[in-house]
Amino acid sequence: MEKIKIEDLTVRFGKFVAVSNLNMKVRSGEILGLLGPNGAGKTTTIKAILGFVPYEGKVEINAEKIGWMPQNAPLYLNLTVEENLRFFAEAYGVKNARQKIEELLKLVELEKFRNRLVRNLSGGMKQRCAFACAMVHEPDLLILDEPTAGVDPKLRKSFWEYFESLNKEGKTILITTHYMDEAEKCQRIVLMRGGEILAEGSPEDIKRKALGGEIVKVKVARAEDAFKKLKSVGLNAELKGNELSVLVDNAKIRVPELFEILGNDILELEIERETLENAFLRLLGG
Amino acid sequence: MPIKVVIVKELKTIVRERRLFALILIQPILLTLIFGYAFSGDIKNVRLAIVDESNSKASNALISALSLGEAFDLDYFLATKSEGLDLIKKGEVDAVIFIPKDFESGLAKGRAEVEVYADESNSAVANAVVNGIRNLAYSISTKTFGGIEVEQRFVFSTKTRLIDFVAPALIGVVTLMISLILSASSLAREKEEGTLELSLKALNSRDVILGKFLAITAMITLDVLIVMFLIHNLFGVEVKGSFALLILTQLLFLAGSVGIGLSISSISATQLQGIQAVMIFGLINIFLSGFFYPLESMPEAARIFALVIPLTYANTAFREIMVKGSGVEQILPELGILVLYTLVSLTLAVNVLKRMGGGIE
Ligand SMILES: Nc1ncnc2c1ncn2[C@@H]1O[C@H](COP(=O)(O)OP(=O)(O)O)[C@@H](O)[C@H]1O
Ligand SMILES: [Mg+2]
Repeated sequence: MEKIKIEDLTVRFGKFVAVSNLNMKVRSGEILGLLGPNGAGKTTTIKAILGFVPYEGKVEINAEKIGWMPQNAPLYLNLTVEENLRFFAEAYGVKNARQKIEELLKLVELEKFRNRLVRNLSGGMKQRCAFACAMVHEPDLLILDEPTAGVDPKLRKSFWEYFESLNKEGKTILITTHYMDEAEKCQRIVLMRGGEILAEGSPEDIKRKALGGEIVKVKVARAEDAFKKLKSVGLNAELKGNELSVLVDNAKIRVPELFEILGNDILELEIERETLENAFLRLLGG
Repeated sequence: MPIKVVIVKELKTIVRERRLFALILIQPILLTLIFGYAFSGDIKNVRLAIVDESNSKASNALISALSLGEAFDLDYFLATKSEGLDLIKKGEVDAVIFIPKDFESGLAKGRAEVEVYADESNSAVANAVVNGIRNLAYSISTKTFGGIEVEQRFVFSTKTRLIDFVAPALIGVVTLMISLILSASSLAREKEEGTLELSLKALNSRDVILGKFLAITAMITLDVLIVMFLIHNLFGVEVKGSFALLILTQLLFLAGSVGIGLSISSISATQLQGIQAVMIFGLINIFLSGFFYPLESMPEAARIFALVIPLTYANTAFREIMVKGSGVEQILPELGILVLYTLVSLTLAVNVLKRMGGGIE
């Protein structure tokens, strides 16, 4: 089942098309990363999902409650941490508000700062408070727009611990980020540019797509022979010294084949780990 | 209660925004003190020229009554009206009083006439003279001729003081300015900081508007009470009519102004832009509403503008209630217009905001 189903979504600001004919789904129980450079249309897509911008196309939401953490973590600056939480709890009509607020303050480690005005919080604390506010009504779908922007690595790590534990409880998360290590943690990625989807799939799928396959590096005893053998079966290989770089569509299937063809000549075999960053750069550059 | 949540949040936000809060408290106090002292005291030493064609017992009584007290200085006694008008043009006198031949006989019939010519550029003085003479004529007529009334169109019934004219309008001005500032800044701030959309996810636009509206109402009612307290205790201005009716009228006018403020600020991009826009609206209102000049002495063109400006009607209603002690029946037209103003502006505000919320209810 899909939590969000978007069909042919187009958002225009005057003549400018910010999102163009977008089709995507957020499946129930997944962490979906919406990625792409600044201005790609991620925030606009989210605002269309939430109904804050006029759009063409169809947006279907099957969530009971949506928790939204907007970009830049907006909060009431003249209210304290606790007052912000209470405002959203009461606005959403949360039943056991007091208990829920305590729980969240503990989770985001802001118990000591509960009476501090949000105006006087550090960036990271503000981010944590905004996250807690998005969680206050126990949403089953979380939409987080750059929740970790400008946050130190330690805090980013604990943020992801929350996300992953929430996900284990069955919550669906749609998240945008510019950090590659975070993107790696998403079960699926939608990569956008210029209002369109450039690539979609698991991080591994994305890498494969960027390269047009995977590269298997093989060190062999009789390199020239091996090279010819591979060529003769139509594999895309390059020779450098005694090392062969073989571009295959899917390493899992092709590696056993390589063993069959080259047999005992293989000294060392390695599937090259393409970084997601490189994959993105390749896709975006192309 | 969603509205209660918004009200509490708004009040906290306003009180903690120190500069804004100071402005809200200080502005009405300053306005009241400035206008209060500028316009306080009775009208004194108004220079008069008298043209007495009646030359009767009654006219003499009127003239001697005028010469009593400090209000009028009888500087000239003239034979013709035109001499008097020349003196006004030269600035030698503030007003000319023309007592026609049939003054005494008219008085006996209850239709005595006295003509007053005053310099239009000094309308406040003109008004004071007209009213002062009306009052005197009234008391003379009752004394001398056993209760026959001269004319019953008293604008100011007992005292002739400018503050009585200005004080009711102060309530209108304070209500207008503070409600515009508060409503413009409150919505625009939330838009700028991104909290508006966030709260529109949790609440519907009606609750957001209504909550803001009630919080702003509470603040302004506090302001109006401050103004009332000051004008009563420092300047002795009384509310002749019903206090409840006064507050009710003020709330009505406030509601309309908050609606305007919210609408303007929800279509302006930043807080600053919103505040500038409402300031322009506010200043136009104040200048053309008859706050400084009575409507009657405005140039024709300006008077037409005054007629489409809500503050004009609010001020008229306040004056009627405070000075004349009028009840609901006498200010029905003004109340009608203020109801219309409120309905139009609040509908506008809710609709503009709804469009921003993308129809999410
Ligand atoms: N309200 C708006 N009016 C006009 N243009 C906008 C508006 N919001 C966003 N845009 C434009 O739409 C494009 C996509 O913006 P956005 O969705 O914020 O990108 P992202 O979140 O991926 O960085 C950008 O070029 C941005 O300038
Ligand atoms: Mg964005």
